[in-house]
Amino acid sequence: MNVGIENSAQVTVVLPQGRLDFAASPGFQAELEQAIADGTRQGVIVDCAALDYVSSAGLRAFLVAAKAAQRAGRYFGLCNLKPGVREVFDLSGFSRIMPVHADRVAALAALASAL
Amino acid sequence: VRERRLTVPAEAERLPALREFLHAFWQEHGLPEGEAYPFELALEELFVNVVAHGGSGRSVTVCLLHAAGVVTFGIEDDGPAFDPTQLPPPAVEARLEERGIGGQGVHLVRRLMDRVEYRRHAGRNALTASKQVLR
Repeated sequence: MNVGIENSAQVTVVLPQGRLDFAASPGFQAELEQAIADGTRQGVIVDCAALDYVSSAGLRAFLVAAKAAQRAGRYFGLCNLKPGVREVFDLSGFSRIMPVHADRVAALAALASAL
Repeated sequence: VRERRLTVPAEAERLPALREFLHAFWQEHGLPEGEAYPFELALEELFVNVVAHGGSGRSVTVCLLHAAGVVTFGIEDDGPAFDPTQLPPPAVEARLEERGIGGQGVHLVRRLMDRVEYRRHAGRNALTASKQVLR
């Protein structure tokens, strides 16, 4: 899968595109872990506007990243989930264990106030 | 009542071909695109389960049936008896530090589908998942 990265002074925005399935999950997880390990920024926001599909293998990548961010003391949040992806996050309970925002403005505001 | 079947080796690399099979069926029956997600998820989660539990060198048969607005997805394999509907549910209320990922795939399939049933018959595992997609 294609994963876009946008870096600003405070935050890395990660933009997964298409399908986050069993085959795509390890590469996406590596991208997230690399972004979280970057000590020069306060956190990572995953903008899911172009994410069409996530399976349990894809959820695993988000879970590993959220735990890594917690250990590193960095913010980790999501925004712009499409309805099908949102349903998977809600049914799995993942939208209760990591912040899920309506849009990028809300996610950036949450990052700014969390730190 | 129209049914399509496809048999592939139990190898994870076959997932894209199975997905194409699902999309072809969806188009053939003029089913709504917005209703495909639960079936894509069931296909991936249940096929990956068979590959993980059944071992390599075996075959998997996938079938799709559309009747009266209800689509039924079936997956059969000749691996050891394994009923994924008996897996314990994941701890969806647990905090981040306590969360694991085990059992999540089957849990999602059961929540997104109307019915999920397992049968062991003639040395084969047969799992079916169905959902109403047209009213």
